[in-house]
Amino acid sequence: MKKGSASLVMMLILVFVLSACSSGGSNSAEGGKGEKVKLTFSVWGDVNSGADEVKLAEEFNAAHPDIEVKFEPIPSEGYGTKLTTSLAAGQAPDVFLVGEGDYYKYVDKGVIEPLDDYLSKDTSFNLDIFQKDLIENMKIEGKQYYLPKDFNPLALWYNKRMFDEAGIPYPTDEWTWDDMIATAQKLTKKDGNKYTQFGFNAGKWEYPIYTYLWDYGTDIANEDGTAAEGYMNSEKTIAAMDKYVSWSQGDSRVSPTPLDSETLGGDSSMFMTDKLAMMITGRWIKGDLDKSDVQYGSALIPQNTDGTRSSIIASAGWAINAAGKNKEAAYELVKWLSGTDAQKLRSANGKVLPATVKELDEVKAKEVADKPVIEMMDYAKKPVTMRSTNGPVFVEEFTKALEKVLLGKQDVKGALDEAAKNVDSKIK
Amino acid sequence: MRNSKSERAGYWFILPWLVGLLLFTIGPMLFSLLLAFSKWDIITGVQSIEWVGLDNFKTMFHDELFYQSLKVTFIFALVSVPLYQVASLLIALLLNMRNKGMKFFRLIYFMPSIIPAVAASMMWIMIFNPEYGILNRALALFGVQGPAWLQDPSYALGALIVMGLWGVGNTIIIYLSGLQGVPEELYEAANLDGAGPFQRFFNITLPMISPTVFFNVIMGIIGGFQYFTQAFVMTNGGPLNSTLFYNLYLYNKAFTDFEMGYASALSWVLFIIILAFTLLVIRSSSMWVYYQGDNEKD
Repeated sequence: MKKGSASLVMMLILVFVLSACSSGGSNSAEGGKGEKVKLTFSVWGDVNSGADEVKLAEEFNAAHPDIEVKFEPIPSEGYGTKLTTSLAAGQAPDVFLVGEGDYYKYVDKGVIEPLDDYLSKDTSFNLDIFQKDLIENMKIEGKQYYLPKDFNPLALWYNKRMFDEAGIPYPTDEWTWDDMIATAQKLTKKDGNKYTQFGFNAGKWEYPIYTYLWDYGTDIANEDGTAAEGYMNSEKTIAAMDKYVSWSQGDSRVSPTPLDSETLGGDSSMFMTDKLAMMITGRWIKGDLDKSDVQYGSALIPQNTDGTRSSIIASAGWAINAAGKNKEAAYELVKWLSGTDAQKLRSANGKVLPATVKELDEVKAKEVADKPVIEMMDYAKKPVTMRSTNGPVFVEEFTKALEKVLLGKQDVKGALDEAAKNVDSKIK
Repeated sequence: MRNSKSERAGYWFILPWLVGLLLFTIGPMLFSLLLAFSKWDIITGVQSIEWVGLDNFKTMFHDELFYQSLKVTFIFALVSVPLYQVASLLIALLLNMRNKGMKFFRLIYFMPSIIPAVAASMMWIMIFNPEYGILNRALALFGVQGPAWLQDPSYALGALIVMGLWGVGNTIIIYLSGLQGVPEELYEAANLDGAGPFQRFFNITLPMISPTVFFNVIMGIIGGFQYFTQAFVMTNGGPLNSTLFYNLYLYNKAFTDFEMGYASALSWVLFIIILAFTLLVIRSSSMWVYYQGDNEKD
């Protein structure tokens, strides 16, 4: 490891060059009679979570005698790097999964095949089966680039045991942010001058912050992500952020400082060990929560006093590699992986929510725990990363500013003014 | 001429290594040199490489993070190289004594070096935990409230430097072998002349192992400037870029921001920096490195 990344960079570059040279000769297998079209597809995550995909691949192969599909999962940790490098080398899978934060980025690079032509030719498949908001999210500049695998709206998750112990009623649909913070105050406890538990986590993760800013009628960027000045540092944003960070600052804080949460083992493990009473996060957390013995419930993210409420739908979409050799077959695969049967299979034991309307309605009818989570979908808005290719610049500068504020190095206004200036000079 | 046949055989023997060198070192280096003058986002493949001349290097002049990463890396190298060398030499001197159970201590000191860097980093994250980490607990015994080592921008770099001390086993081993190569009769002669331990160390030991010092210093400089893994795992450059090492910044540019051209330019600048420092040490070596065989020529 000592040699570090300089040599890593060089190695990788060479791999690209070599593979770029060799890829010309390997596609001669096509066209021969009886020769199967070969496809690969990838998702992130450990092998276990891919069990459904393995099954789907087997079923697909059985149903399509002329196509042979192979499932190649990639560990979550290196997914982005692996995908990028394999795209560069022309060795990327024919179909792969992209997270909502990267939808724009890959399309911008021109590596994702738009699906509109395939969809318009295909009379047997209709996008109406999917949740409308979800499909909208997967559309960029009017074109459909992704089809849904699954989705996770942000919601408020609360620790029942901590509420019960304090004798406080669970969060309600009418809660405003102020109500939530007042409750969080009651659920924050100290032993001497050491905090033993916190009511809420207002960390530096931007998703919950967006929902709060939207409720205040502001955002860190303009609609198309081309300006930060007057948005990231608008009066409204500064006022809202002043309040938001105050929750995790000073002696009357209700939320852990970065240091607190480091000390107490991180937000989700604090939640699982009854040291954090409420958090706003995506439904993916459920998998971990169910493995622990925490008793939890979900609720709507609080609203503003005027009734504005916001959420974000985190989702994963299937994409066709624009440089793939068998895009027609790849389209069949994407359809298979996102279609009704696949949605049914994945949501069978409540692991994920189905992306299709009919199946989701069925879940809604019988699921109690997931009801607020599903309802949060109706309040979903798009964060800047899903509106513009400049998104990552906004997030980077905003997070940096927030970090400075949370470490007490700068005040909110100063940090956000500086961040807005940096963003605008970078995206010009 | 008379050796031509065996010479040719020799080349055959080194061929596998030579091919490897050309393909996996020289080739990529040349390619990255080309990239240093280009713009490339990796994703779209080699056809999208675009020649931009000196733009990447011009960008560096205005790049705040480039200067920050240089600063972090220079501080680290300037502190860690002397610190690690002195520490490992001192430990090697101790381990060179002829005591019972010395093999056990040698084992103990070398052991950290065989632990993978990532695993060691994970362990140190726990050691540095502000509340429950053993470091701060130990400090608490003396009534000292330890800082938040990795979360406080004024301590994080220092914490990584301290942590590095734990992994100097390799350097110790090299010093140890150097020390064992010092002829015993020199010490005997010095003892007869009434030299004390300090005189023996500075007049015999140090000159005799100066080639080892030379080697270790060069390796230390190269390693110091290329520091990456621990920062990547433990702090990822934070808090507030206080541990943004040069290599980490380079990596982020290449694989997070997909600016492979700029990253290549950065890697060449690093190469030149390391080369300059290494040459400096090599040039100065004639003044302080003593080779036993040399005095016959003088």
